[in-house]
Amino acid sequence: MTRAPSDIDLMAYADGFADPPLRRSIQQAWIADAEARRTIEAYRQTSGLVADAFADGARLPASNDLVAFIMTFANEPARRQSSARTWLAAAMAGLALVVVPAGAFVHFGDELRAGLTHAVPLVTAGDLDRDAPLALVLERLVAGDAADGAQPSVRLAGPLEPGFTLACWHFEHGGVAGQTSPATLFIACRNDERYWRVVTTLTIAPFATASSRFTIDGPRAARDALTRAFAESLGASPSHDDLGIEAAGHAAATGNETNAR
Amino acid sequence: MSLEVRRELVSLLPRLRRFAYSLTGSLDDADDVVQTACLRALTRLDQFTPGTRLDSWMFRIVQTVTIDRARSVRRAGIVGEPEDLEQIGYDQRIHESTEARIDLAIVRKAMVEDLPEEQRAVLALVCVDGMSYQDAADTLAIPVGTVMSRLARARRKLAAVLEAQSPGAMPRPEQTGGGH
Repeated sequence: MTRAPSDIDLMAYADGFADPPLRRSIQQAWIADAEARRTIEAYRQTSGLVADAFADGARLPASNDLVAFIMTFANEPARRQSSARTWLAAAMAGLALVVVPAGAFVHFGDELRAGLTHAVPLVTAGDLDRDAPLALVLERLVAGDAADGAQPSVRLAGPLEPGFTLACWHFEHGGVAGQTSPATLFIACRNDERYWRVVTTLTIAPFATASSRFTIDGPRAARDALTRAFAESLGASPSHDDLGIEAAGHAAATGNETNAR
Repeated sequence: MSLEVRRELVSLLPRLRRFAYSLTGSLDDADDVVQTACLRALTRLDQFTPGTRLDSWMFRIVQTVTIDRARSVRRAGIVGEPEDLEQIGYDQRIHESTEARIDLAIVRKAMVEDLPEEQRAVLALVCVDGMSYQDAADTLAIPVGTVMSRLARARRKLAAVLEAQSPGAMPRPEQTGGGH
């Protein structure tokens, strides 16, 4: 090489990726050049700095929950209708748990929004048909197809009940503030045959005040998991009292707050 | 997904986490990104071509998830501070080989805040994960020349930011022309 090596030539040399002719040229003709040496050293230093800065990311052990989730997650096509036995089997195998504030869906693409126009008012605890609009939307979410809108952050929330491995989804935005329609958070579990069950719901009325009370249904562990997700989204204490949440059936629960601010 | 692929995915978790960390600047965010990426991979296995590299496929998914999250945050108007020096305090660990020692927290902050996403990705793959230029190009589905030019720009920018933060800490690579 008769010409001076380019900046990128020197970077490739510093990184050990220069091809043999370039490497020889730099070693024979340019390594004595102070400017070239300085550039090579600078590239080596930035590489070392960046590697050191993020080394912790690989040092810490992988989460046991995540490993268990990867090893047990089922994604097989449906073979038969959902049944109580299916759900029992799913409970043993591990379920995908999704916490979805329905208010977030207004940010989704038209197709998803169209599905939820009908689905949101129907978010009640119970099994969903495979072709139910809400089930289709949840499938899209699990597949990560809501790229045009809110992306859920997936968190492994720990066992809902002993033996369960759960992926707990909640959205980063689309919360209560500024919404003019109720936002419904719910937990939906998917079994290994891709049937969905809504196990608990929490509807947050618009214009809620500090004294508003909301009801939550479902089994205790599911209620607690949903309450924790809700509290996290608000940056609040997960205390039911602080959040104004009461289990359905309690005397003071109304769940239909409409007070204006 | 076969047991073998699941095991390979588990074995990739440390690298995926480190890659996500270098893209987000936050270990918590990295964990969220990796979990989302794993779930996405598990539900889209039909898009993975057997015999090809699982690591490249997963790195691409992690990068996509990171971009999706950043877009969602921007749409929601959430002001993100991946790792705010005011909040966490300065990193006690330092890079020893520089003339004036450089705090690693500054490096993380500069990488996340001062580099565009596409430069951050190549820097993470080559300098953090140790990939060759060609492997990084294959992973990101871009020409190897593009990898090299992005990498050089990223490092020049990073060196400039670090020099501004810690004057005299390190030499700056000079652009001497040519290249790709």
